[in-house]
Amino acid sequence: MYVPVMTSCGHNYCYYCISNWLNNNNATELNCPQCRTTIGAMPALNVSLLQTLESLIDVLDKGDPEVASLLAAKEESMNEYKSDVAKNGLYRNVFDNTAVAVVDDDDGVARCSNCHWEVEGSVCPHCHARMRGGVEEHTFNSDEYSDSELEGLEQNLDEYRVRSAEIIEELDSVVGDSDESLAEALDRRFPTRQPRDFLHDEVTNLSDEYYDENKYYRHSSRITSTSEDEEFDSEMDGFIVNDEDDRCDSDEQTDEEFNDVLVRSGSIIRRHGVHKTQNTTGSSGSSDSTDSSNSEIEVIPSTHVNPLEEVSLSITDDEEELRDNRTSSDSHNSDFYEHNDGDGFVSGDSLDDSRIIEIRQHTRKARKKQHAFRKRKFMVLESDDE
Amino acid sequence: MTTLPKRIIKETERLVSDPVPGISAEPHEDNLRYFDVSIEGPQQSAYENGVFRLELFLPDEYPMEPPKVRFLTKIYHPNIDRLGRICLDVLKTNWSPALQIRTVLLSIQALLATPNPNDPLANDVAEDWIADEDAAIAKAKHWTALYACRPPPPSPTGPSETNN
Repeated sequence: MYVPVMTSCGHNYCYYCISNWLNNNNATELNCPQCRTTIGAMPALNVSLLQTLESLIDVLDKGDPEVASLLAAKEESMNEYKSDVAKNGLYRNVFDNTAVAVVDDDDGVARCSNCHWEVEGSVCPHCHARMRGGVEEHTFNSDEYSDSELEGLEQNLDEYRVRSAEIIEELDSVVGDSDESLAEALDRRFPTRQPRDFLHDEVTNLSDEYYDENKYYRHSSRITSTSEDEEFDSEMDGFIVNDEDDRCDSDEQTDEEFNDVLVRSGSIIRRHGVHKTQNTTGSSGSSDSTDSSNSEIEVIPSTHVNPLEEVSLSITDDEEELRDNRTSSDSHNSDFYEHNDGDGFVSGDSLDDSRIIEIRQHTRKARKKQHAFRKRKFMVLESDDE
Repeated sequence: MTTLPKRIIKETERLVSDPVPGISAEPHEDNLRYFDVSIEGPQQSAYENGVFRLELFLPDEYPMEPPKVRFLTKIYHPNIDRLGRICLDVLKTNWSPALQIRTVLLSIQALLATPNPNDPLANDVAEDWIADEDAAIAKAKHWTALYACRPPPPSPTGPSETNN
């Protein structure tokens, strides 16, 4: 024993040996080889034992070759110890490279106390620290709360349950009566409630007779889809301008080409048709289709996903007008473009250069109209449902 | 083979010069890390009068790692399986470099004296042991007489061949 160190439990070891043991031992605890006491702190150099050793060596015959080799070995060990001290790497950092697995109370996951990485097994997969004391099983510890505190917590929970049940009941009754808007009921019940703007506005705009529970939810979903539509429109805006530039040159197109364009603008026409339907208060199926191109429109799948899908498409006067536009391409009607909302595809043959500027101006206006129209749309849908 | 650590040399010397009563351990001549061991069955146990042969091997990491020990003689014991492997804490998790070959062998002898069927390695034996201890002890005695009781070995290699 050239470099004696002493553990906290009072046992002395050679520095090299105990360092080897602490690093090689696969057990979860760093322990004393003699008494198995957990070694929490670095064993310290035992100076008095070292002095005793020195005095013993002094007595030895330095001329003896065995003693000489012994002294050389001692020198080597001492240098090793000193260099470890100098580079701050005593015991190969085994005391730095160990950590305690701490179980997170929130998710029950054991984490390394060094780096907070999730620990599996006895070594941290992130910082490679060995887990001292293993991964302890931490469960809810009732000792953390006194009995009275626990009772209080349970009582609170019960109260919340009862109260939420009451609230649900109350809301049900309110909705069932349906002579008061849900929004108002909620406001009355929860004076501090902050209404979410879009919901609140739309809901209060609608007349009370539409309130029953189911319809309320349907409204909200439709409102959401409306806002999606508007986003979509704004995306289309830039596209339309380009589209117009591309198409305005070709003044004359064949019927087939026009049909093709019609196919793509099917959704616009649908919307257009519904607009008409609304004006005629739900006179759906008032079809006066005489042209084959009109009947074709009926089966066109819409490229837009809009809440009007389920509304049956009705061929209306406006579409007749549209057909007229095709046959007499000179008699343009700017109203037509307004009604078409300015989004989607516009057929090229119905445009000429002089109109483009006008159309662009109309587009903005049309979008405003469209917005107002969308609100009215709900009314139409609801009256259809009745 | 590299030079044997000083510790192993010292332990071997002491095992020969100052053997533990009832236990003998001799290193193989061609491999000084490999030991032939024989342990006498403790008195007043089911293994009394038996002489059990074991093999012991010191791995390269010894004494940082425990020696590997295995029974060669068939034995009816809840903590020793058919292959002779031993369920003993100091040979696994509770190993300490402060332990030596002699202390390990003493621990094994103590294990023969006090079988622990609650921490079994040979499950069938442990079940028998728990269900009917007297019958199990009788069977252990029978096995000891059958496999471990050789009259004083007529020759140095005497008991080895028949007991495998």
